[in-house]
Amino acid sequence: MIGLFSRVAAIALIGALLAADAPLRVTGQILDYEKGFVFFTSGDGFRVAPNVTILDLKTQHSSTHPPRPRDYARASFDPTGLVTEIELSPSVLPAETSFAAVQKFAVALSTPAPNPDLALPTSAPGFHGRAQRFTGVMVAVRFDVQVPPGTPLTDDVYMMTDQSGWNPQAIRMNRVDPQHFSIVRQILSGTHFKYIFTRGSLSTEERGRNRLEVQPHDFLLSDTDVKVVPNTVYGWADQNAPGGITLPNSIPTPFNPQPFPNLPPRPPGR
Amino acid sequence: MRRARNQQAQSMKTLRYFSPACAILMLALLAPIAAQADEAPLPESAAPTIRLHADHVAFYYDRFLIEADGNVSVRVGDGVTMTGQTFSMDLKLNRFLLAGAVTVTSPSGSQSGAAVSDFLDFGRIYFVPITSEPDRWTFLDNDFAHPAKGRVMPGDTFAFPDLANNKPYLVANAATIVPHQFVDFHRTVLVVAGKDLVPLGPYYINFSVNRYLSTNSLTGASYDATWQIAGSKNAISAIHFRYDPTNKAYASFEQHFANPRGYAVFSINPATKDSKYYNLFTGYSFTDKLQMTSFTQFHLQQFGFSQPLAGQDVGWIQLTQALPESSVQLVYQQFNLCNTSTYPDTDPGGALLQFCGVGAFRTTNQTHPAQLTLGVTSDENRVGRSPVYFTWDYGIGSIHDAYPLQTFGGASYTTIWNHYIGGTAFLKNVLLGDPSHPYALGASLTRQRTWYSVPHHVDTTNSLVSLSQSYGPVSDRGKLTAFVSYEVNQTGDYYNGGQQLIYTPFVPVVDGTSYPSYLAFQGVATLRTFSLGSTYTPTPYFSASVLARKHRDFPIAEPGEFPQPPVNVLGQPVYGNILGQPPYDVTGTIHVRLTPTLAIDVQRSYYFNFGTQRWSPNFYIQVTQ
Repeated sequence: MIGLFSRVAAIALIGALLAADAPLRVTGQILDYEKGFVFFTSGDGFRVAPNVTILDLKTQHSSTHPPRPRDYARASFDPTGLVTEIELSPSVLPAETSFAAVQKFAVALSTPAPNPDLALPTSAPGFHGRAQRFTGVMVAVRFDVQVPPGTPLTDDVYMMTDQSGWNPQAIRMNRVDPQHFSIVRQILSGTHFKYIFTRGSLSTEERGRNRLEVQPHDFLLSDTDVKVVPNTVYGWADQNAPGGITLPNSIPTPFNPQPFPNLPPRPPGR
Repeated sequence: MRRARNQQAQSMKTLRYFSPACAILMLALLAPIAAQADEAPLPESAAPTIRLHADHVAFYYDRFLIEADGNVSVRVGDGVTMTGQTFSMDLKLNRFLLAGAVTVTSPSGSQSGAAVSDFLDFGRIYFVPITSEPDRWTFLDNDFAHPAKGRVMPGDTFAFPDLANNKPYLVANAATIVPHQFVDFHRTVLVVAGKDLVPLGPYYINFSVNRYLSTNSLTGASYDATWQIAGSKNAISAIHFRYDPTNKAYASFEQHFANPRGYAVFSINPATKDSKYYNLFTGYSFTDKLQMTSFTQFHLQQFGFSQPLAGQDVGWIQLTQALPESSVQLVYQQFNLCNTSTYPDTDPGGALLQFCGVGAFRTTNQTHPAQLTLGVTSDENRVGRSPVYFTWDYGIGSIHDAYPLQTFGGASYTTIWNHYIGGTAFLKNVLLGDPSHPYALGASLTRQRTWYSVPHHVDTTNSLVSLSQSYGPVSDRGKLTAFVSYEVNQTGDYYNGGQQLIYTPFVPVVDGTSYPSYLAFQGVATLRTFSLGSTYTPTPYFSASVLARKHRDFPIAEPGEFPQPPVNVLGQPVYGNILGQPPYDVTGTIHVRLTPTLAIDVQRSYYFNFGTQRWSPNFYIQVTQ
């Protein structure tokens, strides 16, 4: 019984000693490797041991090239904070030890100083005293638009945005009924873009309440769970002119006022 | 030979008459745009030009990222040069990162380091220098002489984008970047299916917020690939490679000019077919309440760019002035038809002789119809606090030298004056039933009466009522929608005392078939449409919709009775509300977004054996990028 207890104790002691010597390992993306330092995209630079080993993570053989910007890497630190081994990979590596655990080893001549640019946002007017936050969470956003009476039932409505180079067919909306269209998009908070509604071309873009060209609608998404954005289109450019206008690549039809454009031909003499 | 010379001289003579008034007007309107092109700065244009050189420059169009590797050199404005191994720039965020053995050279000196990141919009340059040891410096407002040392940096300052699931759109070896405006790549190669395939030379991409630079003057096409060969912050020159079912494959040219107040766009479309359209669109905002738009089009039949055989042109100008609670609009249109006399009696394009007529061509080349309309339209008005809104409009106008001239009572009218008054009433935001899943009720009624100097008036009445429902949770309503609607459009042409003269009852005979039901038609048509529509959108990348309609019209539609309306290059009718629609039709549409920047629409209609009509002649297919 005593023998068994002493064997277990010995194994536990050996394990503890091995764990104490186990190198600290972190994964990240290389920013630079020069002058005895390796830099990660956190901006932190770490001193490299003179006899550092640089391996290909997949083959565990010596790497054919030194660490380069954009490479992904697993770095092993000794207890003094020196990087003793760097294993390189072309693809993203799963996180191991938290990067914060090694940041105490980062080398920087200057003492960290606060940055007023990074102060938390203050309350914004119009948001009930709450600050607008933009943390990049995914938000379900529904854009609704009411179109004017006279919008052809067979036409589609699109959103064109500055983010898509004002392509007049960038986002196709779904018809809800003859006068309503809607589209749901998952958008990251903090997203900011401008948009205008069209019926598929710039000749059919929306017009304002006073029949002038509209300024693009401005959309800025702050943190929220769900957002509904109602819109109204008051008119379309191609239906804007009294008497109608000719559009590109069409043959004009300047007949005398004829309300029925396609009557059957009359027999001769009638 | 002499005849050919005469024909050519005649052609030259007649071509000189292409809308001279419109041409002069266009030049006058273009002048302020050209004059202001350089002097009027666009918004957010203060950031300096960035000139990038590297062994390999890649552009990711779907994310607006420029990634460069190998011997990277970056020149920012005129004073700062940076070199390094790897460059990454997000054009939308307007910031770049340069990493790997970096050297920053400014008027204050030169310093090496690990990486530098320039947040151009904020005047902050974050730098990791290596002196005796690494450090962290921030250059505030481009003050390279006095770095803020040790200042904490944003967490993602030196982060590279993850591009594992993205493919570059093109590769190059240099780029000129004007922040918030455009990027001009040099010695580019277009990447197709992951391979560097198509050498293009220069390639310009605009990403400014000035939408006027994106105004186009082309028609729709099934597919359009655009090569922007040159540009600046105020201009773009582009070649379009297009396909549509009518013209098949062809190329077009387009030239854009724009400033913050206006634009001018010129195009030749198609440029590689004998039937060419030369288009010029202009627009200008004189004030916040006065805008002008214009359009001039020459349609020429010419082989290559040789002397045109035939041509016609149309031009219009539209002035809109906003008033309190209303707006006034002046529209002038002018047409020149059958401008040349050398056009053959056989019409390859099939369109020009629509007005000129075979054999009659040479006798109608003086047709210059013009149309003028001055109209006032009210803004939307609400009836008290009810959901009922209305607009009204009235105006006057004239049509001169219409083709053919209208005759009535033995008189031929070269100028027909008209005046009109009308209005629209409609419902907004009327919800019925369960508030969590309500039905939306819609209704509208539009009436207009137009009086003409030829003694008749035309009444139009359009009414529509609809009921719709959206299914699914509030956050995702629109996943499945359905609606039912009933629409009645009535048009009546009333000649006081002359109805029987203009709308003489007769039985049409078309291709040997008689249509006696038409005998009852005396100038009043009523089109009734019952519609059922539904759209299913399971994901943002796919939607399917169906629209089923039943038409019950007077005069009764019978196969072959009414001429079909002309269609555009995509095979769609150029106007709706026509007589003779098939009594039943079902249209299905599928929309698939293949990539973040590529989508395809496929549509087809079925007409339930109306005459010989079963399916629409072609699938309507459109690829958008």
